[in-house]
Order: sequence, then structure tokens, then C-alpha cells
Amino acid sequence: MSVSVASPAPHPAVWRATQAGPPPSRVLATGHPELAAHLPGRGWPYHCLIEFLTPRPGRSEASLLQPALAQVAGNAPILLVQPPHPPCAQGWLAPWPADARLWWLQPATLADTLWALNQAVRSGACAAVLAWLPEVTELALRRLHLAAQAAPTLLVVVRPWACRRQNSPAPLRLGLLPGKAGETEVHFLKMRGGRPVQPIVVAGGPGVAPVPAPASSTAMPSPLAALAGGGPGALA
Amino acid sequence: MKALWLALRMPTLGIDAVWSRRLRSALPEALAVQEQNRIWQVNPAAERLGIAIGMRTADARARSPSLLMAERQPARERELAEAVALAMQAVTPQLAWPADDLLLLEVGGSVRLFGGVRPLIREVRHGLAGQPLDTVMALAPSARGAALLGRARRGARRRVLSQASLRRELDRLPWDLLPEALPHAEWLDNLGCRTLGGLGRLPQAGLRRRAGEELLQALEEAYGARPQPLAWWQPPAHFRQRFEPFYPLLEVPQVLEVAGLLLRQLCAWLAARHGRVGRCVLGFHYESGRAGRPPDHLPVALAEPDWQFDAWWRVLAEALQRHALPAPVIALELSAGPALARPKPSETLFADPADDRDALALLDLLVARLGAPAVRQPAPQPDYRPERANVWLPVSEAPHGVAVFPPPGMPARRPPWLLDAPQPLSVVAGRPAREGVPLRLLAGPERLETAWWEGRLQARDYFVAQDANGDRCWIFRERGTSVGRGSAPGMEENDASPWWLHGWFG
Repeated sequence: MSVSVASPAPHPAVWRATQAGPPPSRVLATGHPELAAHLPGRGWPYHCLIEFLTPRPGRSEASLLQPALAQVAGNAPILLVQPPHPPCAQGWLAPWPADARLWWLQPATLADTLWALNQAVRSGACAAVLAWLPEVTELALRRLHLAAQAAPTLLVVVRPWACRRQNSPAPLRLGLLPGKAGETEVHFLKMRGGRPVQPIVVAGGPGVAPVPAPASSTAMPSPLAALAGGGPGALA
Repeated sequence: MKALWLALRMPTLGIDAVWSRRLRSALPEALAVQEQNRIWQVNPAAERLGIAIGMRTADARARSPSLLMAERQPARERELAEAVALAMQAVTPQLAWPADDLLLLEVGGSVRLFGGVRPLIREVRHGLAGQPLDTVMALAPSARGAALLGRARRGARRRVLSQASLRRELDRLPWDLLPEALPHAEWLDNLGCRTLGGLGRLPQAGLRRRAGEELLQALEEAYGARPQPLAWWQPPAHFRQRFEPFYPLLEVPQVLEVAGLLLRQLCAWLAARHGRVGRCVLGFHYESGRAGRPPDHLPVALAEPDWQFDAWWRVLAEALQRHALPAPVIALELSAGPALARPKPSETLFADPADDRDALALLDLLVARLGAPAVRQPAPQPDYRPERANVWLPVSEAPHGVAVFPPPGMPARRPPWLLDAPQPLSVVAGRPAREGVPLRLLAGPERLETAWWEGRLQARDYFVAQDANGDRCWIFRERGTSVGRGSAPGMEENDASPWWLHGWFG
């Protein structure tokens, strides 16, 4: 009896020669179709470290991750570790279910930050951990990556764009560059299991992309529609 | 199940209560405790000098001037014995405290639990390891038998498992160990009766007539022919234990070791009360005197009350690692209570996925190391002003569960980042500008008019704007001011700009 090699869902450890490697075993849908099309496994990978490199931290990553976070938010907390600005609770919580938990950690030292990240990831209690680490060694990143291997936690570390030349253990490294028109340009710096692709532009951009509303409430009207209506146009 | 009793006697309880072991090395060898001008307890060194229990203090002092005497401290004795009783709760809940210096434990079931007598004794030794007093252990099939073996002279066999060997050992003991026999001491001496065995061989009817029912009953209880009525000891409602190590504690690891001992006692207490606690306080006592310091207190709390050693230990150890010791610690004290009821075990077949024990355990750990102010939870307030609505509280203060959300009808579009205080924006050519470049307004306005009831009307139009770098920010214009309406360039120099930067989209 022959086994069809074209079977749609082979074993995760088996992949076609045309693929660069096995896709991640478990992913979280990104909510951005144009981005998902290029990511191996078509989503944010679990059990590894995801690294974002951006020239101005805070300007693009929140809107990029928000659709994914809205899916996992709930009883398991989502951690913001050392965010670049004070977070706005409504901005984060609005698209999430009412019982979602969000914790803001502001450790005093880098050692405490890394310790807290390690504990949060190892405990497996968190849905997602987002950390802004302007200064961190490759060794620390490697340990975080190891800690993430067993954890059912989405771990995203945001670092300065200048670090893109440094070595990193993260299997997925994305450069996020805010374009002149406010959109987010995603550079695929490193993608284990994927193929080299040109940078793409994620439509919408922060603040203007429609906020994914929870199923219970009605969707927000897009502010772009209001713009088209000509209201603030007179001001500009 | 065969009954088996373990007697724990504290032979020098009075002395241990007065002089801590830490001080003992600096003291003369011979020690005695007095009560109402009579010697109440002596240590072996004092015994060698000829000091006997019941001697008048003046006689004792005359006999040996080097003897150190002190008044008995019954309250401290009770504390010490209670600590032992608490530690023994880990061995068996069936514990009686019939005399000040004697604990009786029914360990018939525990022998099976620990897998034999030797492991049981090891467990008892483990519980006694941290206790600052001497104990004598005796094991026998009857409670009174065990107590008698515990009181026997040094060198006597103290562990018997069978009825026959108990009889053999008891027969050899002098009868004056039995308090019920003391009133008839002269008569028994005259009879030539020296041992419990001899007492047992006397004709029963005559003994009953001469000495009454009590002596016979006591004899029967000792030999296991009759059960001894005992009231089980109930652990106290509040936990409070103090530990004085032999030497002052200088380093955190030493404190950790002692705190571990106290925590084990706390867990034994919780096991005995079948409860859990959410908060305990570790007290640090320092040397008193001129260079002394008042005691310090380190409260440790769990988000979810627990009764297991590991859950407490992780948080306590983290909190202690952060705690600086200002001076050598001479005593540690752990207090907690009252115990709360434990949750009922889950009745579902599989674990409930919504169980948030993991998250709460993580929270405790983070708070223990980073401090409560560094771990914050949103506590949104029902206010239209974004800076008032966006409240973050340390997790210890934030309400558990769902926070109050802004009133219905509130536009949900808020940026993920909100500045602590709005920053003024310059105005270029009548438009808000950052770094000299005018901002492009993308969306808005969202009009807020609020707080008029506080006498400070806040009238703002919020816009989503984009700066020259392509970054999107959240700005507002204060309405009701004359500036900003006009489009005449240069006007902004005369007055404050009505434009403010309040947040960043990202």
C-alpha cells in the first residue's frame, strides 16, 4: 500500500524538500492575512522567542499583535514588561473579553526584568508576555528562548533596530519600520522554516486599522469613514 | 490496627525555658529553676553537686555558691512545649498533653503511614531537630506505659512494641514513678515492695482496700489492660512561634534555614486545623541594649491562601532574599492566623481549565521579588477624561475580578500608550506641530465635555495625528480658548498653545 505524498497534513516532523524546515508545531493566528501568508505555519509561533526590532519602540508592535492577543486574552494574564510608555488600559482591554487580565511589570533592574520574564514564561500561567528590552545580552535571550520551549506562552521581545546585526537565538526576527505614511513595514530578518521574502506593508497601521471588536459588541465605525465624510478635513 | 503510643518527655523543660541554648555556653554549668523558694528542676551538673528537687533555695545556695538559680517561667515553658506539640502534628493528629512536660502521641496508624517504626522515629526526630529543648522518647503499646518508660532512669530500655516486653520492662521500674503510689510510699516500703512488678504481685483485694481504686486503675492502664482516657490536644486558633538559634544570624541563607523550620511548623499547624492562610508575618528580633534595635516585621502574602509548604516557601524565600539584615538576628518569629477554610476538592473528573492557581502563584512570586508597586493591574474608572479613566494600581490594591469600565456609549478607541501628563505642542501655520513639522490629522474629532460639575470644564477635541516620521499620536485641542481658532501665523507666540499630545498609537 502506498502512502500519498501529497496528503494535505503530513506529520509535523515530515516536510517537503521544497520547504526550508518544519513549520512551528503550534501557532497563533496573526489577524493580518498579508503577514500570515509569509510566516511559517501562518501565525505567531509558540514555544520560541519572537523578536521585534524597531527604531522607535512602541510605535508599531501593539497594533501588529493586538488581533492575536485578543484571541488569547482571558483568565491567563498578558504581561507588559517595561513598556516604553505608560500603557492605557482601555486601549489594550477594549477589544478583549471582559475578564481579560493585563499586568504591567516595571522591574527596577535588568536582572529583575530577566528574572521576572523567566518566571512568567516558565510558570506557563501567562497567555502572552511582551517585553521591551533595550539592552540585553545574547546569552539572556538564549535563556529566554530555552525557557519558552516548554511554555504555552507567546513570548515577544522588542529591541532597538540597531540590534539587527547582532546574533540572536530567536527563530523569528521581524524588523518593524514605520513608513512615512504611517503604515508598518515588516522586514523578515530571520525566519526558521520560511523562505526569504521582501519586506511587506501591513495595511492600516496603528491607530487607524479597525479595532477588532469582541463578538458581543457592535463593531466600531472606522475613523477613516469619518475622515472621508469630511469632518476633520477642514481642519487639516 | 495495633495501638502504639509514643511519649515525648521534656526532662529539662524548666531550664530550657529560662536559659536559651545560645546563652548556655556563657553560663556556669550547674543550673536550677526554683518555684516558691523550692528547687523545681535541676540539670545533671547541679545534681552532681547534690542539689535535689524540692530543696529550699537557701539550702541549695549554701551547698553550692556557684549554682545559678532563676525563677520558673511557666508561660515560656508552655510556648516551648506547644512548639513541640505543633511539630508533632505532622506525625499524628492524635496528641494528648496530660502533664506540663509530657506529650503522648497515638502513633499506631502513623507506623503504617510512614512504613515502620524506624521511619516514624526518624520523622519525629526531624520534627524535633529545630526545637530548643531536650526530649526523651519512649514507645509502648499503652499510653501510661510509654509515659513510665519515658520517666525511667537513664539507660533503661525505652522502646517496646509487644505487650510481653512491656510487662517485662515495667516490672523492673520502681513504683515511685507512678504518682498514684506516692501517698502510700511508707506502707509499700515497709512491705519491701520496690518495683511496679512487686506492686502487681500484691493481693489485689488488699491493695484495693488499702490504696483505693486509683492505684489499681493506674497499674492496669500502664500494663495495657485498661484504656487510659485522654483528651486530644487542639492546636491554637492563631499561629505564633519563635525560634532562637544557638548563634546570631548574620546572613540571609542562615535566616532562610530558620524560616524554613518555622514554616514547617506553620504547615503542621495548618494541617492540624485543616485550614489555610493568605498572610503571615515574619518578625526579626535583634540584640537589645544600647546598640539594640526594635524588632522588624516582614509581611508575606499570597494572592490565594494556601497550606502547602512549597507554595509558601517560594514566596517567603524570594521576600527574604530581598530583605536586608540591618543587624544580627537573635530570634525569628512567625505568626499567622486565623486559619481559613480550605476549598472543597474539585468534583469534576478532569482539572478545571479556568483554574487560575498558576497565575496567582506567579503573581505572588513577582510581587515577592519586584515589590508590589512594580506589578500593576488596570483599575479603569468610569470617567471620560482619559487620564482619569486610566488607573493602574499595584496588584495588592487593585480589585480582584472585573474592573468598572467606562460608561456605555464611550468611544472605545484609545491608544495603547497614554502619557502621564499631556505635553504641549507647538503650533506652526495654525496647525499642531512636533519638532517644527506640522502634524497631519487623520481622524477625529472625538469631542469630550466633562468635569463641569467639578468647576473645571474640560472641553477637548481628540484627533489621531501623524508626524513627519509616520508615527501616529493622539492629540487634543482645548476648546474654549481663543488661540488655535484663528489661522493667523505667529499668534501662538502670544499665548499658550491649545494643542496637547496625550498618547501614542503603536
